[in-house]
Amino acid sequence: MHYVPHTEADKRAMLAMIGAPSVDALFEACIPPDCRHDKLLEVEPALTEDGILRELRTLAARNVSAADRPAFLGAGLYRHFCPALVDSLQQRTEFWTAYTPYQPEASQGTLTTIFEWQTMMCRLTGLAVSNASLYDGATSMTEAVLMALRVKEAENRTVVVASKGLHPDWRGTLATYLRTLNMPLVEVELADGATDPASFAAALAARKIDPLRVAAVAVQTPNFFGVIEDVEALAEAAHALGALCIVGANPVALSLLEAPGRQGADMVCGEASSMGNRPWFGGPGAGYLCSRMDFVRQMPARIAGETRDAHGRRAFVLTFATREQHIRRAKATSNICTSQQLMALRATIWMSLLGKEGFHELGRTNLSRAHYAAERIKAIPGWKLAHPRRGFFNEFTVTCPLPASKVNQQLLKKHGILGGLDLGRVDKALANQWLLAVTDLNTREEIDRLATALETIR
Amino acid sequence: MNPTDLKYTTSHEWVRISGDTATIGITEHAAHALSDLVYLGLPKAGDKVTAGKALGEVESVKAVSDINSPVDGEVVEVHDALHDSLSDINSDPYGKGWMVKVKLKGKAPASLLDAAAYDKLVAESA
Repeated sequence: MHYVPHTEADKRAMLAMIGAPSVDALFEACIPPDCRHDKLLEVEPALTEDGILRELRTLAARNVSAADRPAFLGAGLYRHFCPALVDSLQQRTEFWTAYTPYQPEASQGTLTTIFEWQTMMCRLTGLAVSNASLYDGATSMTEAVLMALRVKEAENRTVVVASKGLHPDWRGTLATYLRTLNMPLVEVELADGATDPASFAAALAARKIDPLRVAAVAVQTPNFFGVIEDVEALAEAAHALGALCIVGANPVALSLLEAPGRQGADMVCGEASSMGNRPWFGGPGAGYLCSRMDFVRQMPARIAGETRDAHGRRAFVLTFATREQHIRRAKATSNICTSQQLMALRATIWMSLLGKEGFHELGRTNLSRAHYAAERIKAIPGWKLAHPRRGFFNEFTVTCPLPASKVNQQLLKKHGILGGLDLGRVDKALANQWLLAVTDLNTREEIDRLATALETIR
Repeated sequence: MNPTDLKYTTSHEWVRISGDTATIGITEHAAHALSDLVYLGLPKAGDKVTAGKALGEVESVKAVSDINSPVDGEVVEVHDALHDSLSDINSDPYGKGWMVKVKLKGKAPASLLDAAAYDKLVAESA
């Protein structure tokens, strides 16, 4: 079988219809000579299957995998141990359903998992309701902001205040949406790496915006620079403006940090793919979004719920999908109509396997390894922590004695170590700042190796 | 057969006009088509409503639909107890299922249907 859908008879009929004698003649008539490539493409002769595998293996061997050497890059995606059982359970046939589980009679596996995911995310965030997941952290933050704008629509509040501690990709996505909606976005500078709750008024005044027009304040904890934010104070400041407080949070950090929902956050969102998924090539991600129950009608995407089947047995259904755009477009809360089911499934299995104690233990390991690394690095002459007064979880910013890009190059070439993020890529003024993630997959030996290597870098 | 003392819209709302007060709900046909209702969004007393424009929304297990106002006016009373007894909209749409009372501004639109015309509309759409 071949994949050209037109038979010779089809082609003749079409050519006759438009009056072209042949396909070549048609192209010659339509495409200028200097745009045509008349020779055969210069590609290597066809390889055998074995030959192709050999070629691809050679190419693949040139990649440097984070699993093969010490790696300290995080910046939103973190490596954590992921048991092989996650890969195995993910392949159970209960999960082999079409991605949208409209038919509860055929999708109990998927629906049960969504319900479990929602339950776990609510417990982690301290909020009453979770959806079935969104694309990634950036879209989850944007959807949370859009949700807040819908909640505050009747009060004619259309302004969003966002901390510059949000992940740059999240900030970019949020700015794109708000620009097209003509909703003002006021970004608040950080003070020593953290968002200052007292800074909102000045930031609004500088833009001549009435504080009574603010619908939401968006912050992230730990923020992009690794700093743990004072969520309680920030939520209080947001509420003093009459706005909602949205907190983007690394869910793994919530193993140790107080649930933002119990500190006043009205919505909590973020990137969940660090749980049970690997950084792969930077994606796919899995966004999560939790909220207070009174805003549930404005929540995007879908929610699974528990019910009883005709025999009275516990069963699960999509209990809230009426505002997805395929049901009634004019009533849709979002153009996101799906969930990131496979990634959320893996995260759910991962959380189940760790259990409550295991999850806490993982958090403690991350915290202690990162703090050990920070102690080692700041003891090296010329190297210091950028925000020594601030608390951090498994990531922190280092001020280097030379540009972070050079640090990364030397580490990789001379020491076989993948460094952290060169913050000069985010902001040229931060060229000497280096964002370092240290997780449970960075052993003490690796950290020592890094510190020893840094002692030699000038 | 729908009650003859009411007027109807083509978008399946009913209105009972008594003096300058209009009581509004959705028809039996609409409630039946929506099936089990899970949520009702209603305006507040004092809100202005416009004939043909949404005054609230009703959500069933299947879909979300606007409730369009049959008349122009101002909301004077909202049936808030209905939020806790949504099945009344299905079982008694013209009685316990009323949603809002509106103080009429001007006259009710002439385009409202009487029961016979509305019965015919429903029969034709079946």
